[in-house]
Amino acid sequence: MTPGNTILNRPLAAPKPAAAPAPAPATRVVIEARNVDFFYHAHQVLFGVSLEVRQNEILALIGPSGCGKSTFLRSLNRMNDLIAGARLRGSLRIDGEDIYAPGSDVIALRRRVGMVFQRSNPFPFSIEENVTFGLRANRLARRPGERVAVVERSLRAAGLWEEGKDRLKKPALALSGGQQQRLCIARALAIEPEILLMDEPASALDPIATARIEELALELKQRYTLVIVTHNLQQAARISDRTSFFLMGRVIETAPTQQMFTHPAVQETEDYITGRFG
Amino acid sequence: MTASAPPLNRKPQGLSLRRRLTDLLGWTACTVAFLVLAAAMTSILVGVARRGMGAMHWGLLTEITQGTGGGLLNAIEGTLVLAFGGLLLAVPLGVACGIYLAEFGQGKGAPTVRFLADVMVGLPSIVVGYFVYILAVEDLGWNFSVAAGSIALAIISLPYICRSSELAIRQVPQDLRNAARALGAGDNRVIFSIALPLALPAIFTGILLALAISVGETAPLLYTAGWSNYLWTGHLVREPIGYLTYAIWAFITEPFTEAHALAYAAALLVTLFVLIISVASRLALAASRRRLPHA
Ligand SMILES: Nc1ncnc2c1ncn2[C@@H]1O[C@H](COP(=O)(O)OP(=O)(O)OP(=O)(O)O)[C@@H](O)[C@H]1O
Ligand SMILES: [Mg+2]
Repeated sequence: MTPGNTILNRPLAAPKPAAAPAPAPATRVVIEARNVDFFYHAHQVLFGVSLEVRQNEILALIGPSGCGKSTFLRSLNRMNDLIAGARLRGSLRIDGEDIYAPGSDVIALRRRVGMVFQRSNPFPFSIEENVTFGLRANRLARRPGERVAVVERSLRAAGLWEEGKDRLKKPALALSGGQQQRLCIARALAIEPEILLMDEPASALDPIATARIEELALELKQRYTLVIVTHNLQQAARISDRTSFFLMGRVIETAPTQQMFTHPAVQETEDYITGRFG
Repeated sequence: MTASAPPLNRKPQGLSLRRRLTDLLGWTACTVAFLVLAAAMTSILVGVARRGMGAMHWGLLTEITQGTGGGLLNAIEGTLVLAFGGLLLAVPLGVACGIYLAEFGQGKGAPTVRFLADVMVGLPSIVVGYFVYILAVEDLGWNFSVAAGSIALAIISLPYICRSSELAIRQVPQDLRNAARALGAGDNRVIFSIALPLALPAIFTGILLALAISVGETAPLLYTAGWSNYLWTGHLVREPIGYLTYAIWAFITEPFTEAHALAYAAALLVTLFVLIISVASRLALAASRRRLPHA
């Protein structure tokens, strides 16, 4: 007898008490931006951006091209520090800690806040070396067997294990575009970040590869907190819990995704999601 | 003159006579220039090959020079020793400068390093020879020696290695550096695990070209390495050493056919060395193209 899926084994009615103790909504705020202004030299591109990202949710950032979504995303792991003349004002806290405080550790921050780029950018090394790069850079999992385990765990988490397990030593660039992007996700997961930032992670992929990335995002939010920039409103609607609408460097509205796409509170949001501009 | 713009796809016969003439003139000038150059190159190569082949025999590779006859073993050995000695000095310094320029190119020292490299490229090689002569051969009392000759060749090849390394490292895509940074890699990790390994084939190409230049140099060695009919005994200073370009330079002016044969054989050997190095550098470059993604 195999217990499990047969209809006979299933309880007739779900044991649902009258007042279902709904799983406590994850409300812990992981990222908190308060009045963030951002400048490239004298050119201001973010104006008083305030928003929160909660644990284990997917927050989608939408808005027309050039409105500052990527800039905001990059300020969350301080990748903007690498751009000459970039300057941030305001407060950005992750787990309550001001990540721009003088003396705060950028490397440690980037270990906690992983990033997946728009154009997949695997290193031209082997699949395995891609996954272990972050471990080596951060001197993690240094015992012999450990890295092997991390490679498997990360590739599994990124849904690439079945396709990749027999070619771990093969060049990553031989993978397809969608596989490369999942490898980039695996690579980011290997160092066990808390937060994963994704800047249009599927915009260069075909619909099937895109669907896989979307499924993956939904799985990943069980363990991570995700912030995803997307130009694809359907995508935002399909996968995100809440959505922030950016317009010309300002956050116009942040709301639960269903609500924003059905009853936007602000006229500009409605105009954007109904395609009247942008 | 006329208000209407000429149609874009005018047929050739629509061109004015003046434009057609200029066109013809331009093409003719280019073709003639190319033919003259190609003819000169071919005649030199054919001349060297023909006379060099005629002068080739096993003894050249196994015997040392005796007066104006004998073999070229001492010169072959000397050319290799000096060229590799030069690289030994120039590669670490040149690649280090290249890394510095590529990765910290905004720094205060960078314009100075770049300026020095450019000046050094422009320096006539005989001036480098004379400089090392004064400094090493005379002042330090090293006499004609492997050390002095290698230093002269190192000075010649340093700017090439430096600038080609800089370019090679710069050409590693920013995407990959960003990916590494986003994974928590610091400056050193990005340089030594990403930029340098990916730039290596291209850096290697630059080093090979510097080697080719070193093998073909004469002037800086005249003042620093001297000449010797004997095999090198391993002393770095106070022991002159022979090299192929000297054999060409010195023996072609001798009145003996035996000496001329040596000179042509040496010329053929130098040409072959340079050819082999060039082919190797092409292969290295092709390898680097294959290695780098979308670049
Ligand atoms: N490295 C940079 N240097 C200077 N200005 C920049 C830089 N990156 C972005 N900008 C400017 O900042 C503004 C916001 O750009 P950003 O890339 O954040 O927009 P975006 O919302 O991500 O756009 P897209 O949807 O096209 O990706 C734009 O005006 C852009 O020109
Ligand atoms: Mg963007």
